[in-house]
Amino acid sequence: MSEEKKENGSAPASKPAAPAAEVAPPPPVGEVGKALEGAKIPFAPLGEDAVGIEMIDVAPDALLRAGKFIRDNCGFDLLLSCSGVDWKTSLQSVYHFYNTQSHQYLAIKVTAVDERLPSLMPVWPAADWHERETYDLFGICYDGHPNLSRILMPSDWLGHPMRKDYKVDDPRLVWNER
Amino acid sequence: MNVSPNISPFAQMGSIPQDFPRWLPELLGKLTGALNWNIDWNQFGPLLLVLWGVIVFTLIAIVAQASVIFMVLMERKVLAWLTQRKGPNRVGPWGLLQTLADGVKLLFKEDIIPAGASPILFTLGPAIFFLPTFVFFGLIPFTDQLLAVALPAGALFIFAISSLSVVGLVLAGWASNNKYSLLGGMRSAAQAISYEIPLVMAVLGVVLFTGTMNIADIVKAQQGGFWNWYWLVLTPISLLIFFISSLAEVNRVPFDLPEAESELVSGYNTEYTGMKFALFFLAEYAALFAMSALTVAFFFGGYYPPLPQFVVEMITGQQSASMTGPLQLALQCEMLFWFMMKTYLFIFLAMWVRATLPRLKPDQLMGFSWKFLIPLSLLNIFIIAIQKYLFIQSAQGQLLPILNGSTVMSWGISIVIAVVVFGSFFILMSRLLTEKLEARLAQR
Amino acid sequence: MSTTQIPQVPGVFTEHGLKTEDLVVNIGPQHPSTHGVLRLITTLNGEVIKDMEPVIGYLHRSKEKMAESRSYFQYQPTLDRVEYLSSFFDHYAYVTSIEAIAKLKVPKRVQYIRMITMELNRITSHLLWFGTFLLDLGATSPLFYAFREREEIFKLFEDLTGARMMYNYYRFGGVNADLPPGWIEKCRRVVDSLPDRIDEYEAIVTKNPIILDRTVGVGRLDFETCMKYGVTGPSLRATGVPMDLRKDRPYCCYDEVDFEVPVGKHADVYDRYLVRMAEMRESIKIIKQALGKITGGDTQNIRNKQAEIEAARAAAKERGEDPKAVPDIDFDWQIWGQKVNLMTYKPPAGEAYSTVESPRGMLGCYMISDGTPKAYRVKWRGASFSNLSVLPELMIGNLYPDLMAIFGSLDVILPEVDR
Repeated sequence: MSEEKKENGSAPASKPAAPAAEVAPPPPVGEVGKALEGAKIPFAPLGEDAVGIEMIDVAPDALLRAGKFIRDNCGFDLLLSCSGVDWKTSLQSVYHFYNTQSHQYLAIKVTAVDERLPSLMPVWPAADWHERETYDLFGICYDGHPNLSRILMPSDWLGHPMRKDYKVDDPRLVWNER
Repeated sequence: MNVSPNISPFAQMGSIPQDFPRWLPELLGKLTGALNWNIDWNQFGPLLLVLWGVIVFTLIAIVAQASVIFMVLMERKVLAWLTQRKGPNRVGPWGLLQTLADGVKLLFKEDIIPAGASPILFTLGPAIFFLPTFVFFGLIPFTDQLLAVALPAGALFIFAISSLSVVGLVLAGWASNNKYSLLGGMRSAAQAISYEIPLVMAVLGVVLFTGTMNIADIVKAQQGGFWNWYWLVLTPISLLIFFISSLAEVNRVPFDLPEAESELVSGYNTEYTGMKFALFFLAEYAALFAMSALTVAFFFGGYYPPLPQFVVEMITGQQSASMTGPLQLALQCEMLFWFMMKTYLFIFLAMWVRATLPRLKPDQLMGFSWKFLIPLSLLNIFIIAIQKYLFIQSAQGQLLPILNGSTVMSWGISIVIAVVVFGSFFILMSRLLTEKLEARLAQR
Repeated sequence: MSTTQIPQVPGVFTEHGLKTEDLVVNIGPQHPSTHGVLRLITTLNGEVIKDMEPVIGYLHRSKEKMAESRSYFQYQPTLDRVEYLSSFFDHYAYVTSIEAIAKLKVPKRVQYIRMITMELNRITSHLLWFGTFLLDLGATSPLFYAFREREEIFKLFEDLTGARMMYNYYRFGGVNADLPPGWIEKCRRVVDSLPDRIDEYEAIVTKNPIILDRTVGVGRLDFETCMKYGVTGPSLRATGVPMDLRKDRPYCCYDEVDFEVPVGKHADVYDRYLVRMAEMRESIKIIKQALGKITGGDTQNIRNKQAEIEAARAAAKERGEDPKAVPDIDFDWQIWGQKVNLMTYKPPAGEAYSTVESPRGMLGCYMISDGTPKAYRVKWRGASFSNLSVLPELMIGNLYPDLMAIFGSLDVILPEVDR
């Protein structure tokens, strides 16, 4: 089992936010991780964050399966948020979940392939606005989202402002002079 | 009832009412006499009547404007007092000139007609809304002399005119080319139609009892102490129905749906600026004043004091009908004082209600009128008819001669009937309402 | 019925009668009861709502982007503007995420101060909600009554932080300054007067037949829908589920005080009102206990004790003894926040998702630090954002005036939605 984890976990291991993975042995598998192992859903454990929330890395094609599994079998019924993260080399989408029964959190990280990810809306309708926001600010396209349009920025805005390479003084943006 | 004993030739002219100022021809005669013109002004009676009406109406309209300006300030001060604030206190002493300053500001504001609005109808709307409320003032007997015209069918005329103002609101709402305005106009039309009925029916009881539609005569029939006022004689229900419906008629809280600011921004007057907006504003307050004045005239003894005699009468020991000169002037002032006091009492009540209650929903508004007020007012007319019959039976024109055995009997019987009928009605209604509420609380 | 009696005038009559049209009303972005700049594209059939689409973003100030261009401490004052009605909660989520990453130990006294200020802030937030909610229903007076008590609490905050609404008081590992001497007594006086005032409000509102008619059974939001759309806070508790982070995952010192999580039963507008009113009472309970339990008590006590110790040390020195032998104050009272160079503060690399139960629901702050003085990524999970997304679901089929009642009952703050 541990070999599988290593293989899957190699992709996100080089990121600055997961410093433990670089030098230390692979992080331990948490409760949810064990359940996912049991369900044979591929994932990579990322240990815990500073608050103690279990983090899991899931490949985009396994996201919907994993999502359905943790909702139905692990009781994570509340999707708290979907945050985009720009790692300069890749875009990542971090979903945080909450279990209203056992009061546990869970973070699922998915790295976008070609800036595309599957939408979590079929499993959690709450993802609607969160994914629109991430699309708006990071430009991650969520396949299967019924209305993926800008939500916070004006509808004719250029670029995705939360990206690290976004230029604030883009001459094409003459918004203020209109 | 109160037939004046001294009969001038003028007063005998058929259609001219009793309370026409008999001193006017004399005064004019004296004036023209000083110029060595010998004119008997009495022969111009009808002309003088018209002239007097115009003079008084102009006077009253000007005073009413001033009164409205005061009412706006009063409303702000009362609301401030009820919500623990200070209210306007910067312009003039105690903020007395605040409304004037606001009026001047509105006067100088740009008069905007929005694009897509119908300019003629847009301008006509506030005018049509404004006019009827000022026609009211011609019919309200402020004193027995300060009355522009004593129409024989005054009560009917007033309600006919008051329903006209809704046309102005609907017109303003439609012509503004604004959806909030349109919704506000439609709401006001629906509301005015529903609440006109209980309003008229409450007055119908009074008309039935007095046998006249002349407002001045209705007031006169209430002479002689507060126990003779109709709010007591005709059961308080009439007054209640009239007060509630009049709040709805003038779009006050809790019936201010046409301009519900949390829903429709400002309803029918959303697009209006400057003086057109000020006209709406003035007319609303003028309507409130007129409705309160009518409440006083119909149910609260008009210009009569709470005790059987006027203070002037008590001091001088003279009968009011025989007073002349400065004494008559003092009497008129006292009448005006009582009338205004009572009117402002009802205006204050309306302000109090505004500070207390939230707004209804349109369906609840309709339901309250059609399912509660109208049946209640029908019942009320029924009771009043019984009272009237009993009083005719006792065959005394006066209302409460305590010593007259048969009248006491009729009083007792009518009170018993009123208590039984209204009691059963209220018990029925309250049970229905509580059942409905409990059902809702249980169902939800 | 094949041949119809209705004259066939084109455009006016249809086979069903008069032709009608739906009315598309664009409520907002400037509207008296959208509580900020929200646009609701509403399709009305008469007064019945057929369709609705909220449009947000009019207040977007790119708070998350701002975090990446300034130091941790420089970013902090802008947080007050994210959720200006209860900004202590934003600060708490922000500060605790850094404390978790940097593994800072927070003194007990600081935790108590944070708990007291947050609960006071919850009361002010609910009070403002109470006023504006009733204003949406058309009652004007409760707003002013609510502002009266809010003002009392703001005076406390002003004493404490120097500001009435934009506090910027919490620091990494502590708070900006200790309580002013006598503050606890002042706070106790205010808090003691509050239950009577809340009784007054309930006397005006709770059994008012018009309020009952307008709120009972309106805008029902069951638990499944809440979970579907991520609705949290009092709106969720009105469904009868006691989901409250203060109880479920106690932070600060919530496990040391005794309080209940008020829940509703029927999940309608009226229950949301009742839950918030009950929450204010629970907050008062918490504050009262916390004022009694706070480590060190009033600041004057601590100062007196310090003076005593210093005097004892001076005496010991005079006697030629070791002044260090005199023991320090024996409880954890220090306000750590003043002891670091805040402008260049650098937590180590790491990430944290810290949550707090704000008056509007679960407030989350996702913080990624890369070890530089600027945050790599800060993501705010505003409770209002999710709470607002449920609005179309609730609204369709209701009357237009219900919109204000339902929208008001959700207690949405637009700056938090748009950030």
